[in-house]
Amino acid sequence: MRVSQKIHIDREPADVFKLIGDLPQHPEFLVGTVWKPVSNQTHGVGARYRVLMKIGSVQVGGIVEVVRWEDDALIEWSAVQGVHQTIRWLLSPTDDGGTELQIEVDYDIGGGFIGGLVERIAARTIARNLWASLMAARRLVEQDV
Amino acid sequence: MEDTSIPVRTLRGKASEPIAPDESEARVHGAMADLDARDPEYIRNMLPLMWLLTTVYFRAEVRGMERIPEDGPVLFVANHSGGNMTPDSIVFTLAFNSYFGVERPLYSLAHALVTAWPGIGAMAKKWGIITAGHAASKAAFERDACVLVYPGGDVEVHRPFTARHEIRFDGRKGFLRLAREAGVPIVPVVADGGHDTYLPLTDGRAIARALKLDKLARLKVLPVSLALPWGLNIGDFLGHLPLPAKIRMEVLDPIDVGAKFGDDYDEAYRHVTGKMEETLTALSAERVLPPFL
Repeated sequence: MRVSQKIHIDREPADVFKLIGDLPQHPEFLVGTVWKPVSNQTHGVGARYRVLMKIGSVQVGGIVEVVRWEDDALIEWSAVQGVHQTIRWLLSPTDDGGTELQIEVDYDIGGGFIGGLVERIAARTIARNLWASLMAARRLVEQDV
Repeated sequence: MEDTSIPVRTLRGKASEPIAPDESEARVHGAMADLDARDPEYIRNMLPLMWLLTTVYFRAEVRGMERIPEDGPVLFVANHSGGNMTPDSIVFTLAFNSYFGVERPLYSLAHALVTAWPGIGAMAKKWGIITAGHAASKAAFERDACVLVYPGGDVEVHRPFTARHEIRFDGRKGFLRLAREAGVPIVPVVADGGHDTYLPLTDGRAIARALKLDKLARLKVLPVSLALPWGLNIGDFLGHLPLPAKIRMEVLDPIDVGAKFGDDYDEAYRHVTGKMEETLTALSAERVLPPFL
């Protein structure tokens, strides 16, 4: 299952990446999400974080590790424990000098038909949280410059 | 009850022989505690069904998971309610596996009759349910696994409805000795709401004593309740259909028994049960009538 949201920000990708690439500061704009480092390394490929989102009755997630890092363009995470998931931040320059900031979450919770049903139910909460996070990120970036 | 039957140091990361529980429980066929029977992939595939059950049916709320140490062995000490269908176990097992992932092993201690029950016992073992005993628990700690224990056992889970707001460990302090000897922190877990899933009338302790059920099957109670679909339900041996009561659960701060109380288990018992009673009172205060809200 994939949930994706994107937003336009009136700043260059380098300005947006100052926020997105500052991983320990993500709790400032991630909505409905627990985000905390679990490795001494907090930036770049290899950094590990515990990520959890309240879905229904419980917090669901696990530990993710940065597997791709391209300045001003991309950060990709892959699960090392817990829910099988990949998280991607994508930054693209727009014609008006701004940035299209996109977040993608791919996840697979197993469980066959019922698992697929639960993935769809969870997608609504995840999509709302991601959209609120993007709006919070935009506010922080546009206020900061 | 000594853990003389197992070479603990050989267990870490390796297949191991099933562990004999306490001598009295070993009489029940199939009650050996097999740590290798836990099946993480099975658990992963069953979590979505449990999520539906706890979220839609029991509308569970779980708080304080962040208080659990990030790694290493932990002894979870919990209260439980709801007779043999105790929803508290389902909610905590889901919460733990969803939070930390199925890769972090959690073993739940249960009565020998659960692990020996045909069909149910095999399924329970895949979930990591093992027959209660210090030897098996210490072996699990040696693997850096967490263990969940309900000290109140059948006495607590079948207590009458009028005692639903009580932590009823029945004076059992073995969990404190286990934690201290193993050097493992205790993390109390408090649940409220399980006793609203049916109507337990009496725990039938006097009847159980008269029938010598303790010596025959380590049963200290013979509960009588009103429950679906049976109506009058004696023993609850086949379980029942729980009503959709709301379950509230809170995880408390870790307690280092050895550092805080030494070998004063009476004081440690008063502290742990007191903290849990305070939390249970606060959780139950959130409940409004009717009890399903």
